[in-house]
Amino acid sequence: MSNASATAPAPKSQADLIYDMQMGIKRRFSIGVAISWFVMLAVLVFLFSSTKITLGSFTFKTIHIDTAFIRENLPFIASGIWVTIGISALSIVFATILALLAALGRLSRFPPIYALCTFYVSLIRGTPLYLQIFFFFLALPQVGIILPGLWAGVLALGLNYGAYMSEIFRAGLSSVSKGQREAALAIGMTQGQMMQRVVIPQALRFAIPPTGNEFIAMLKDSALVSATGFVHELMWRATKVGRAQFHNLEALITAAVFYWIMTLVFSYFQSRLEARMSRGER
Amino acid sequence: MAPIIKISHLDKFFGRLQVLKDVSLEVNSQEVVCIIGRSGAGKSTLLRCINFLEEPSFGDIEVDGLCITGGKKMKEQRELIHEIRMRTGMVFQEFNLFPHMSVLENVMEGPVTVKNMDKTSAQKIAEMNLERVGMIIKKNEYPNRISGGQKQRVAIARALAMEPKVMLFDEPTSALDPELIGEVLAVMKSLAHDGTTMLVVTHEMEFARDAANRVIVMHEGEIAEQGSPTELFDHPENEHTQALLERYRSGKSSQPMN
Repeated sequence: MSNASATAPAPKSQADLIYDMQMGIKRRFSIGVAISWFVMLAVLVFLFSSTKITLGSFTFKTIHIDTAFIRENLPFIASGIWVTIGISALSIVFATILALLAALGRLSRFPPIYALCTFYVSLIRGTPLYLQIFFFFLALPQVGIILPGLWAGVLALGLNYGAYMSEIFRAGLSSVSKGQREAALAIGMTQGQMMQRVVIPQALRFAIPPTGNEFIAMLKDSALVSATGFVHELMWRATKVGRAQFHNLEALITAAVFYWIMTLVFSYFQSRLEARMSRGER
Repeated sequence: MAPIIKISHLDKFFGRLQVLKDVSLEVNSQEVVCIIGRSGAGKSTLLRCINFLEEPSFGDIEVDGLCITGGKKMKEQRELIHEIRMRTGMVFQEFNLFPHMSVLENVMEGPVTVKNMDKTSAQKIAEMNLERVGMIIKKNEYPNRISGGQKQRVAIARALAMEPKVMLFDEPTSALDPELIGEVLAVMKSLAHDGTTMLVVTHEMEFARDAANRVIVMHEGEIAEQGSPTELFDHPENEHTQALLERYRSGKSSQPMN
């Protein structure tokens, strides 16, 4: 570095040199990561390339997939993307409302309300999501409630994620300092006004980035709803064509690629959102 | 004239620990009373009992003619507590501005939410009070964009916007960098000059001497001594007052008081 500055026509300041060096380190790191990603992706593609290499008595085979089948059925599978996004979006909205209510309920001094919230969270977290999804398809019709497949799925996913997300909102509520509550009370607010005007807005701000994470997880868990057979989302479509034409693997790989792309896209927006929230007016 | 604040025989316990012991005091209209004392003497607790941020254990607290009794359940006197909170303005050590609201919205919040005032009138009141503390130029900033001293001035405006009968200050300069303390004290002095009734818990001896009509020294949950600033600072009679002033004078030359 010092040699470079000595030979340069207009010597840079010490700060510029250090800055350049740090940026150089960062840039080289990013390039290294990008290249490595590319290599790993190439290896992954190679594993599905139906290649056969014979070295003497040793034979190396990679997985065989029928690309013609994929090309043919791509539109059918892809049209499930919007159903997947739709069911996830509806479920996350429902889950967010439930989570907020459950988190607020746990602040209650009224035993039945507190108990209701802990009971709900315990029951949902204590049983598998897969089972819960079937439960709503099997149990609700018995009492005369017949929901369209999509809505039964949204109900199950929303209830499930609401239970987990109530912890996020609980953390959000407790992130608001005691001083904030006292300041609200000191200007004469009631408990309700304090929650509504001061505590909840700040708790939501805290909870938005992790909620984005939950949405990304939900995109993939929504695949479980396909098991009931009534929601024609990505996974259902992949299973259907795969089974019909004995190309299960191809169909599933196609769906996997779509899931992966969706999560990549949403993760990108999620990290942007997180960066913005962290330097926002907190 | 009836006092604005009248505290009689106040006791406060935290668990088994008694932090206030039979405290009685009065604050008259337009009076500025400073409470000084070592950390842990019960100064802040006393102040926070007045607007019920701490529940008094025993004794009576009367604010602007409204009397509440310590030890009674908060639920039974909720209305009264609410009334008292509306008539007292509180300024905290840590400012506690609402970070999700602009400076102007912070000051408008009380009138709009608590008093149900329409936004136009509330804004007028808010702007008048921001003017008063010299913060009108920052009215559209958010709290995290202004200095500690500026935050505290906004917090004062927020309390003033409720048009309280008495202002309570809980160590308003203790969380500030030394160079920012002056601007807050200047605002407080101008309030005192305008006839605002003030009860101030502080470590700022200079302020107490200059601005207070009366100074109260607390020691281990009790009032050790009270009197005019000149009496108290120049001829302290109580040993705890003497010790406090001694500590302050020796500390001032080497390092600022905390």
